[in-house]
Amino acid sequence: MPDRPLVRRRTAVLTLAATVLATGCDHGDDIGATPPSRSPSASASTSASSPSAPVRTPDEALVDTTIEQLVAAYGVVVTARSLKPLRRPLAPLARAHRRHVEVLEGELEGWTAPVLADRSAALQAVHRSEKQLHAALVDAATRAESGALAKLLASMSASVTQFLSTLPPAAP
Amino acid sequence: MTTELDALQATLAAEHAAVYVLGLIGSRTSESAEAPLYTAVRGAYEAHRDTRDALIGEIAGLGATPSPAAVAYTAPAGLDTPDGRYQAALALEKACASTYAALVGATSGPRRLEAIGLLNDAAARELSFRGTPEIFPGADEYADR
Repeated sequence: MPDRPLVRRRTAVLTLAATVLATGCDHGDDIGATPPSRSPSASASTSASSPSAPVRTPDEALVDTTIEQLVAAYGVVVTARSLKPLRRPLAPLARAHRRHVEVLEGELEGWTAPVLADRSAALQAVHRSEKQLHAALVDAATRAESGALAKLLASMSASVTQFLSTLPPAAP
Repeated sequence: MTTELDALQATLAAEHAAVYVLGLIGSRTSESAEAPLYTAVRGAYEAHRDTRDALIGEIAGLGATPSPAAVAYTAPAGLDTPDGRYQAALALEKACASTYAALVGATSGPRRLEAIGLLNDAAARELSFRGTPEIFPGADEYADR
């Protein structure tokens, strides 16, 4: 099923919001952002528990899982960026994760802020998190039924590869 | 719809071109005076040559005839300066990344996993040719959404 388009489509409102975000405010300034709480309304868009909710396809489930992994990695990057020396070096990575989530029509919510004692600990956490994300993206791209989704996820994994290569090294 | 074989043949054609262009760039790069570029070009050349050979075997294994190299290729402009050689190599890797991404979309199973590896490798090589991290390597159609 190579060339099937992305099968997952959220509401037109979300698509419009993603478009506005993409064109309007992609400047990497997430300093001071606080992780939103996981309220029932905040996670409603990914919930499949409603009796009237349509059955999710495997690709839709894959996308939801990938969004969760991207959001978790984003949370680590944003928290690390609260340390001044890492604010600028990690800005492009934060932007990339935001765009990846937007293209998958997800929302950057519900991420947790890990405790990062200092620059070294923060960088180690970012490296570890990005490596996990890369493995998850490769796995997801391999399992996607849609060729278009596989291509998108593989491209995201390649992006993470590039950012991992250019991150400041984590202290031993 | 692009078949798996079509995508493999397109990738092989890209590898033929890559081997030619990188050979040309390498022949104009000084191993001593431009060591970083020379090393990167050599590594890329060997990677693309290996991929080309693997694809030839894979396509033949499918019972098809691997597409041959073109009779001639147009040399990239600007190869007479180091900057031009960096730019040509970077453009080549970006083009290959797009080809590999298309291969990902046209394949499944182990072959797709291999294509994902090729895409990741090309993205990494872009950095050795003065490339910077991209948000959607090989999939520019998502960049402006």
